[in-house]
Amino acid sequence: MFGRRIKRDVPEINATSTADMAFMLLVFFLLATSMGSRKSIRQELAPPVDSTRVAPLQVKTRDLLIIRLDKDGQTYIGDEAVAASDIKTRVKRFIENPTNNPDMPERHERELPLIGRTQVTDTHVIALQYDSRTNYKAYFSIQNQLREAYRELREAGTQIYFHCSFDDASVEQQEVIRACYPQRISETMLQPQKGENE
Amino acid sequence: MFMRNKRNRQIPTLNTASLPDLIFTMLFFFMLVTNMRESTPQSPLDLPTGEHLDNTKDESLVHYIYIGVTEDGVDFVQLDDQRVSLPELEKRLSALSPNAPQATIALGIDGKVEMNRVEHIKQVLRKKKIPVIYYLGTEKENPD
Repeated sequence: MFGRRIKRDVPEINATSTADMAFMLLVFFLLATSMGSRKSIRQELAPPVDSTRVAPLQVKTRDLLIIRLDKDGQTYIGDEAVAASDIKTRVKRFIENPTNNPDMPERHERELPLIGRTQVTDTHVIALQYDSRTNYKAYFSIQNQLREAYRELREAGTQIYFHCSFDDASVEQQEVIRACYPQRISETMLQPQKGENE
Repeated sequence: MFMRNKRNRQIPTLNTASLPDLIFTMLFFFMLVTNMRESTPQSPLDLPTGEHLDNTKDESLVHYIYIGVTEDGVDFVQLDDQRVSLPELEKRLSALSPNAPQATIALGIDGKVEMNRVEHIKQVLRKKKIPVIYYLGTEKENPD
């Protein structure tokens, strides 16, 4: 009798089904969530303007680069047809204006924090005009090229001034570089001319 | 004695006490590294490709608008999970964030859609004072 008492076990909680429970939760999260984030182009939208009140922006001809996208997806800079792949190089050269070309944006001397006096083309405007029948793919590709042009300029600028890549630069440094190469893109949709059909 | 011993012998059970811990660890891993799945478009969209695209920020707070063409050739506009018409879209957008107008919108648009349809949506978004939009795209496989 005494021996039987010693042999009695402490009852255990049966935890076998906890694993099943956790599995259920795991499966739910696997199904309901997704890993990684989606890629996109960011664009800031201008607030709606009262067209009667706003004064038209004065832009000098030399500061303006007009990129036109026709209904077949062909790109033009001014009146010259340009291959879509060359847009980036052209835009970069235009923004930077390395030779101080009088047809390209005016360079202004600005006092910037961290890097001191620098010449920047902060009055340039890139005007993107697209036909209303252009497909979205062509528009997206042009937008992407413009972003790429700015990204590469900023990347090069950060290398020169701070000797690191733009992503590794501090917030203040990134701000300075952004002030050096401010993104100035305007866009307009052109309605097809009357009488011009397909 | 031999007989008694045999009768008492039990089949050893596999100790699964630590199995839940293991699975809970996996669960926490997935809870931390993933975010809730965004809505999916009603018919597959052919998103345009680009290089060095940005990551969409605060993805769980983003609302999605899809513009495309269904397999039957019908144009559709979809806000999150529901198909909407343009006037409806305007109403829904104001309902999304009645107090804070800073709703972020991601636009998933099929590459073949004409720009005038996109422009209509953008005008609606501008009227609703949406400050930032994202154009969804896919990263090019081999950028060179």
